[in-house]
Amino acid sequence: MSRVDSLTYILASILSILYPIYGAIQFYKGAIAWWLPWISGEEVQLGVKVGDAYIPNTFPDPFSGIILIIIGVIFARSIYLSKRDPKLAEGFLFVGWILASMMLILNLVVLAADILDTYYPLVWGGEIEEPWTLGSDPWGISPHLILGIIATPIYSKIKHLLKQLIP
Amino acid sequence: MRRLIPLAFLGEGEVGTVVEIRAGRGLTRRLLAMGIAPGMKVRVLKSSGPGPILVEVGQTRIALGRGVAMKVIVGGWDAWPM
Amino acid sequence: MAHVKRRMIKVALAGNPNVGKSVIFNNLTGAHQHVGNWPGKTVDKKEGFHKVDDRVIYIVDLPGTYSLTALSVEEVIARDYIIYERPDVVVDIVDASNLERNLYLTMQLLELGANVVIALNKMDLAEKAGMRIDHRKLEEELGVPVIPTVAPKKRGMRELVDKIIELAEGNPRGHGGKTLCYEPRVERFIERLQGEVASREEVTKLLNPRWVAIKLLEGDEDVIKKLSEIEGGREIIEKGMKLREEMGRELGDPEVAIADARYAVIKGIVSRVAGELKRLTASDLLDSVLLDKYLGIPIFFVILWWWFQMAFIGSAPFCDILGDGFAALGEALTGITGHPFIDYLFFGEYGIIQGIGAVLSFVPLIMLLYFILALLEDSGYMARAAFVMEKAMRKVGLSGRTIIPMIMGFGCNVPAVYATRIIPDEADRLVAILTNPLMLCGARLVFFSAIAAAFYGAYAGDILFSLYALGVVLAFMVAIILRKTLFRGRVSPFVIEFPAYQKPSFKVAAVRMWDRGSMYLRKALGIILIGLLIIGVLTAIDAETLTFTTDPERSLVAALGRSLAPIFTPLNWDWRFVVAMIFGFVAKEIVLGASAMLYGAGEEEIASRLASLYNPIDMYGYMTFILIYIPCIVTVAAIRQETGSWKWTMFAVVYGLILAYIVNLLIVTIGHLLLG
Repeated sequence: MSRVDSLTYILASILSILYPIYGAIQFYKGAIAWWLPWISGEEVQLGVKVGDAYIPNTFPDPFSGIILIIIGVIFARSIYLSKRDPKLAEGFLFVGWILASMMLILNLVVLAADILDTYYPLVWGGEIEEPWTLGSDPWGISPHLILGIIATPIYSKIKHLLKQLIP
Repeated sequence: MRRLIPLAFLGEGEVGTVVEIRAGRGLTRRLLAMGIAPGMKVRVLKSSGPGPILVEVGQTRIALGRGVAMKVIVGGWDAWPM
Repeated sequence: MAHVKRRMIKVALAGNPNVGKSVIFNNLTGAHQHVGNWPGKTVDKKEGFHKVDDRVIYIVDLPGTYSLTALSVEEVIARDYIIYERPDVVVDIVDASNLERNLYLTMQLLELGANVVIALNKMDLAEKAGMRIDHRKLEEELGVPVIPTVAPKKRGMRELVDKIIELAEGNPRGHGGKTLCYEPRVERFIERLQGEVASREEVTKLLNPRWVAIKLLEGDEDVIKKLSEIEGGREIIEKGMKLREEMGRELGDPEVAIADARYAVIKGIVSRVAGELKRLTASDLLDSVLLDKYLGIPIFFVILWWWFQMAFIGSAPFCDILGDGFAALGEALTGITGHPFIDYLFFGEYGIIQGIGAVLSFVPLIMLLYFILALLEDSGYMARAAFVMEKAMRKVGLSGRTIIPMIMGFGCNVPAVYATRIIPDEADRLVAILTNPLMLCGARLVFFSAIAAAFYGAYAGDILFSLYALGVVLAFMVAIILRKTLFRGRVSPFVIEFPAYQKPSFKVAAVRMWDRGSMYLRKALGIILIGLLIIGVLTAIDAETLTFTTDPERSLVAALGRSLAPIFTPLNWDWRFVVAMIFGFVAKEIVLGASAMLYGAGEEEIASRLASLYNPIDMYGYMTFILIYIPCIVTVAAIRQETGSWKWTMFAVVYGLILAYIVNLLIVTIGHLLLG
């Protein structure tokens, strides 16, 4: 009786692979940068270069890496359950979408904050140290943003749950 | 012969009717205030391994530690294990 | 050839049509069955065997009937078999999804006095229909064993066979359990007639007295015929008819009255035994995921991390704006009063204006931390988080709810101490209050991040994280020790209500944010100002001449520092560290500014200046001291207020100092041992 169709589960499968991959990259880079600086980690990037930025841009942060991996596991769990317990699978899909969207919003907030941080001196005629570019931003368009966008179509499949929850 | 067992021993999905609360005044009062009172039907929602259990009384959902759940005595009527 | 004598158990299967009787029959007999005819009738007779150990269970599948009147061939066959063939056990197959109607036959089997075992079949369908049946309660209500079965899946077959054997060998031909009484008005007639019947031995040998009584009152022709053939039967018939007439006058048609009586009992039983199955709501579904055994805690950490990232990064620009703004203000106003002391005090680099600016620059962060926390609480999630963390938290001596003030402590310890109100148990609450100062608050972060950047370069993030972690680990250790010593054995009862999930209200969140955040604000503008003034005075007054001096080395506070310095030599502290630490008691934000002033450097350069003068290990040790020792004076005030006792407040201060000294010493000693 589930509204989630196989197309959605294909999407979830893609996410359940991409999230852990990017999470692992970020963890790896972060671990090197934070704790093992003597290992030279090449600039590992898995994305398209646009201008001076990568899309998505993986930045070194072991915790955000772990977070991404966890989200991937949640999607994987929903796929694993899709045959055995479709209702519960929907639940995990729902939570996965919520978390993916939260990360999406976070990334946007980060970008906005960084831009604001760069340009606020202008308000009283101060100087800008260096102009902001997507490439110079520590986060940039990170996997949090891209994968969050990819996860958006899931909304239409689980929105009945949201409506039930919040009448 | 009614089977009386502590709430902590009910499994997931099982329902019992509260018979007695064997606790100090403070805890008893709190439980009563939340709806866990003699005569009320309690259904166990989550109870896996050690750690607190989640029950449903009426329309309210309450989480109880195992220690607390041991103090609530229910008429342990199992429902069909699905 | 030894012929093993097999004990035979005679079993009859009864039940409504279409309840799965034949499936069960097939399950039990398999290939050992035979279809014939009931003698003299055109109805199929199915019989078969089921062998278990040294027993043979001979099974007859009675025709499906809705009741046991005399009106149809099937019914007569069924009841005759039970009366004359006297099966050891009658298995009544009841369709759980049609309970009331099926129990009607059960009632009559019980009236017959048969040895009944109920096979409660089609339980899966009942559940799909939204009914949940408590089979053990049904057992109690009826007084006969009830075995749940799902015939097509062969579930319950073994239990059924076991029960059959148990009943056959333990209770031959007796009445299974209790006598179900009908309503008193009907029961009166039954009992009167029953007494009559029971006194005739010839009848009771063959037939159950109660059943005879009921049948006579119903006017059952078949029973009347049977009775007339037994010695003494006619008198009973006569009595029966008289009572039947009487009953008719009182209650109307006796057959109807008795049927009604049966249904009344059935309705009562069903109401006590069957319940509405709750549909799985979205809220339940969400809880199943958020409280999942494996993913529950990881999900919590995801949300935790998100919360901190949003707050820190989101507030950063505003913090910077405030900081810059006040710095500029201070510069602009310098020299306005013309009086060097006042100037220094208010507009100097470590003056009041700068102090206010430094404090206010933390406000956006703290406000955002509390705002998002309020949203999370309002949504209903935090109760689930407390549940999920309870087990883990107990292992380190804390209650699940403690996670919330702990997290708040990372913003500012003052509101976090007030937040321990949500912990109901006193012992738990005290432990939470006493360990909260170990949570690295925003004020200490000021000092630490500056030092970390200057001293440790690329490792700065790592160092900061290690300080956070150290605080948390020490908090756990202290909690466990406290639990084992002072608060031994008083484990609090964990009771938390799960509110319904709801869309968090921004308005409510804003109010709570203001509530908690403004506490920090008030502290900042209150005590810190006074503290800064005091510091200003102490540092600018010459210890000997008591006049204004710009040389900190000659000031009052320097004298104080020098006199205390010997205590701290094992920690490799300079007397200035001592002074800064004393200032830190007022407010931890000041430590950096105080150091700056003591070294005659600006706040921007102080970190690098320190880096050039001191060794990273010693500095790390110093940072841990700052992390652990007495909370700032406002926190002390909060602790006093929330514990209501000076004893615990003093305890918090003293143990903080001692623990800080010990840890600092350990780090410095071991650090130098390992790294030179």
